[in-house]
Amino acid sequence: MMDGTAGDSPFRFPVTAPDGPDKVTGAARYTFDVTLPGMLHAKVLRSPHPHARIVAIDTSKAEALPGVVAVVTGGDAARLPDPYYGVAIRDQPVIAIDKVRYVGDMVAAVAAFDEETAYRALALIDVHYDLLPPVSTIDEALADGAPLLFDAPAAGEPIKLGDGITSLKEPRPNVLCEFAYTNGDADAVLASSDHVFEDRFHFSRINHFHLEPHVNVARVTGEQIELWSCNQDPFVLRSDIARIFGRPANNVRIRASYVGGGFGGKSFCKMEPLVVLLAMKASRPVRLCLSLDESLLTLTKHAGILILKTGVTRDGRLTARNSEIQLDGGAYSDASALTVVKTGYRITGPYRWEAVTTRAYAVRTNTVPAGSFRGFGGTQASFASESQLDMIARRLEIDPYDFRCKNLLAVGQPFQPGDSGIDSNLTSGLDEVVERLGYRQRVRGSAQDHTARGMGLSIGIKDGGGTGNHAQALVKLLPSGRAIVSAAAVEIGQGATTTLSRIAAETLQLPLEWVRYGAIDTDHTPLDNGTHASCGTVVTGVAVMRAAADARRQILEFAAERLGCTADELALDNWTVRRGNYAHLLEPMIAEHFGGAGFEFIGRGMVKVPNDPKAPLTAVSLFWMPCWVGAEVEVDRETGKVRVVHLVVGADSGRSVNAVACRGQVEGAALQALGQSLFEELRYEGGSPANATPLDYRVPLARDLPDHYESFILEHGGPGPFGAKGIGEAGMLGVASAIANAIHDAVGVRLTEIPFTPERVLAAIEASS
Amino acid sequence: MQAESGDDALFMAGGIDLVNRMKFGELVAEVIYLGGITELATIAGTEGGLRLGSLVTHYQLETSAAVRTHFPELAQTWQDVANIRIRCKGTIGGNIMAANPGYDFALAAMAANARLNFLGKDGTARTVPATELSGSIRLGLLTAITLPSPARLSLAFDRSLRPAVTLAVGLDLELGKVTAGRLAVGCAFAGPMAVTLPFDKPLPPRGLAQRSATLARDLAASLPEPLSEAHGSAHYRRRMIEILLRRNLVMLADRLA
Amino acid sequence: MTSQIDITVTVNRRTCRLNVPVNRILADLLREDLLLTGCKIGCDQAVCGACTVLVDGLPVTACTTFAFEVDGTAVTTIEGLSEGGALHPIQRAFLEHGGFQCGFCTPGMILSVKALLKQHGDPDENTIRQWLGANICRCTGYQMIIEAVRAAAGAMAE
Repeated sequence: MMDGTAGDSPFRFPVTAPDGPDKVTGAARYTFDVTLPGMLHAKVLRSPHPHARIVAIDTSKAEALPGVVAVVTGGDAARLPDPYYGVAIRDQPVIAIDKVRYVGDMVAAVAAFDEETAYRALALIDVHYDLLPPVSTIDEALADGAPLLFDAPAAGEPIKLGDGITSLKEPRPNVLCEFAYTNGDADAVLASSDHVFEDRFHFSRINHFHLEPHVNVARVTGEQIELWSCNQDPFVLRSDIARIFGRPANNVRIRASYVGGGFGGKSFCKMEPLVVLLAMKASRPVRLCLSLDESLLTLTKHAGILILKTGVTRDGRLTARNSEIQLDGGAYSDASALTVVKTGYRITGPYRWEAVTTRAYAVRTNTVPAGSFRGFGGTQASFASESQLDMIARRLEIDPYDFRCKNLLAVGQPFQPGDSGIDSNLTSGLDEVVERLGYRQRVRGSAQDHTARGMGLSIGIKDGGGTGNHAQALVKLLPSGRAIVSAAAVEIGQGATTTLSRIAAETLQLPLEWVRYGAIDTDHTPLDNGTHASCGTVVTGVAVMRAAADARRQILEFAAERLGCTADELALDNWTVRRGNYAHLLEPMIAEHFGGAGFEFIGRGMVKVPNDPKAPLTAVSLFWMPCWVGAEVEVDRETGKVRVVHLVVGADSGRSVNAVACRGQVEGAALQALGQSLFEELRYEGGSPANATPLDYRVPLARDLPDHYESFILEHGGPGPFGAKGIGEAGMLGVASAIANAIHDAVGVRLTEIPFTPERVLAAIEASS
Repeated sequence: MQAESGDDALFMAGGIDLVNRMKFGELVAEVIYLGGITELATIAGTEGGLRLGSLVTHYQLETSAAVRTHFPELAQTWQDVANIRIRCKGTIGGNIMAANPGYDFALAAMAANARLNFLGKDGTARTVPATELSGSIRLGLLTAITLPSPARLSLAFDRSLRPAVTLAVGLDLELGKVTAGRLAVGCAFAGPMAVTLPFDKPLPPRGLAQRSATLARDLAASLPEPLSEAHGSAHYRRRMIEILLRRNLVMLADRLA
Repeated sequence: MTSQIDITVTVNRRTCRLNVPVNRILADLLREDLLLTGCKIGCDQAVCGACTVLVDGLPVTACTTFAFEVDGTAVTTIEGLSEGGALHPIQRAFLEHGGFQCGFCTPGMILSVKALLKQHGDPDENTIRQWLGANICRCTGYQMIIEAVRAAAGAMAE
């Protein structure tokens, strides 16, 4: 199905990214820059309470303010054909209807001539709340008699999975969904294992903090709904808007621009339906641009508790694992249903097991909804699994490197029965880390005055490319040989523009400068399933490659007909047809035959990863995305402060189509993960977010870089064009556990809760002595 | 101009703190903009010490030849305060008047035992020791901060545990011995806090090193309860004040020896 | 009722005389009045530095600067960096060394680098890291930006 050839890469030379000149000159336009004539400006009133019933909303004073054109509340949303959205389980209303369920929940929205007026209008809206007791943590939400976030079942279905795998919707109070997977009899295997270790891990909540906030512009004219959106998934959004407003999908038109960072924060439906509703009510285009403070209250990465019960033989062979995973899904579903499945599935890591049993579920709490975040459950799973690997190794007095190598899946061995085999040489990546880190030369726990140094290793992993994913693409060749690639992988900084243009250019043997990645407009651009799951290169890329190949076929057939030969006698490069020693320029050939405006060759391509009823997730995983990490830390024993002295992060690109982008993705993701490991967190005090503002929400700066930071890319081949794999999420996966393992190596204490703040580290050091 | 404006009119220098408060909803009707008053933006040596105009930016402080020569620890530390664009715009006067416990210049002024010069609404000038400045004293316009002669002062800063705690230590020297000193603590209390270091008799550097652990322990124990919040519990902060103070006293003793 | 003020400011070497509300924010003046949309607004509270512009060569956040503060000054935005259509060496270095991904922080980052290289012609790694602490990039992990800065420094030294 896929072209997985290895060999000398056509992409070994670096190129100028086609989106580069726009971005370095300020010419690049984002949804943030979209303005329409007569456009109004919207602001949103948000709930100050974590849990309350909305008794009444009085918007009369706001509506009377000069300059205010429209005010929307839950009453307007309730009248829509289907005012709820969410992935699989749809429990989030376009705007709060009967209740608010977290501090920041949208309660009312105003569209006015300017932002200042809209802000003033918010202050004039009176909301009468009936306060309800909130549940702010997993434990509070699951306690007997806990207040319920929802009084009735939500619309939607549980995620469909393979036979024998449990996938439940709303199985218990305040539980959104549950995933349970079994292979063999884990409890029996554990009972007969030499050692069983049970450990508990706490993963924290962070925000995407993309610098471009969520921004959308909507215009409704007659039957047509138009949306200019920063959303990463235009076609998913289109179908949501169509369903919510009861319009045929071909009357919904979504346009995407460059996106100023996504990381999953702009995946799936968010506030777009609200902007459409405002535009309808106002009968004018409306722009809603959130502040970054509001984006912080829009979506987060799942925090959670992971309890791993792992069996091992006395000589260090893993036997079975029984995992219980509780993810904090926040107030609404968003992408929790999918995240739960993926976290649960990935908890076994890149190792061989005799038996596995896993239960993972998302708990509803009165906090910011959690959803897609780069790594998508693989981060949480890798933190717990790779930390415990190390803990077990040390308990058995086996070197953590040796312990991993003894248990790693080899190339070709299936991740779980029925799934694809590992396509990456995991040991070679670990060896690369060991080499670069100087792991073998380390002096364990060397103490110099009050500091101690240590090193830690980790292999994070996730399946990549989505599950049973698909994409479509067109490639148009203009009479001059210039090309337009039409696909809906949104450019969020991952380099989709360059990668997909390069794939088309290589397939058609055109200079990259001749290829333009076309504007994304759901009216004209072929369907894509969403810019996530690191699928752009492998899934959309294959669609583009096939579209380019289709165009080439058409071009050669055309030329064959003109030249009176067969297409297989011809070759194409640089917009020239070659037949033996003869070269025929295409442009004049086209002009001669068609005249007028000439002719465009439009190649079409699509790809669908096959469904497989025997695969645990209903399709085999397209490729595997390991993340090899080595960390060296210096711990101050008296203050608990941890300094990362050396960080090595590696990933497998299959075959890099754009090596610069591969490196950038790995290093960017790994620094996000480092921030979360040491300090970044969206904190709650009870039901109130404590630091949901850029001033207080600390993200990594250049000065937070490790003393020595390096990355490497291995190329083990993959199913994508020319052997490529996706790599966008890889860097997130192994960093937290590598740092925890390094701290353990340095001062002999184990931190199982992130972030590893100085106070926590000091408390652990003192507890152990 | 101050006399003409309303009682609520606020001074604005670099505007870092003021604009920040406005962004978070504080209503400001009237602002007296101090930009362009070049007399307040100079650094000059005087008999009493080094006079820093209140409108001196952090960047001017960090790059000033006079500061680098006479107070090298101050210039060095200031390279890491906030970030370059805040240092280019923000002023040391604005930094003090914001009375924000997380801001750094008040700590430097307190540790150095600086004198603050104010110009009242009625035109009278007043001088206040930096150690006696508490947040909401409205003494008029801060015009200058005067640092004492460097020959008799040794300074140290420790920002390694921001935002749990930051500190500045200033030691007064007489004939090579430490006669007095001040600890200024940031981040850990509601405002920048100045504490006198107890030296009952002049201490030579070796004596200072020997006494550093006791001094630090006793001083940390004598402090009021630090704040307990996300960046550090009260218990942790108190202990870190002790540890950082001890380390910095040892370092200062080493430098003086 | 907000009063108006006359200001004269040279933006990208062109003198502009404007009459604006006294509380006009520089970022809005640049983006809306002068259509210089390269200045992106991220956090809107002087934390992220995306809206960084140069005022008399020094970096400031346009989102927290009033128009009256730049009266009589020279302001440089990203659009003013290339002269006669040719890219500035810093822009070329960012292109050649992968110093951007989503690009939203890039205009502010490049201007911050311009100010850096004016102060330090050949900055070391630590100086660059400290200076760039004024600009958040969520995408790159900074390392490739730092390499672009060193390349630019080299190119500009010639």
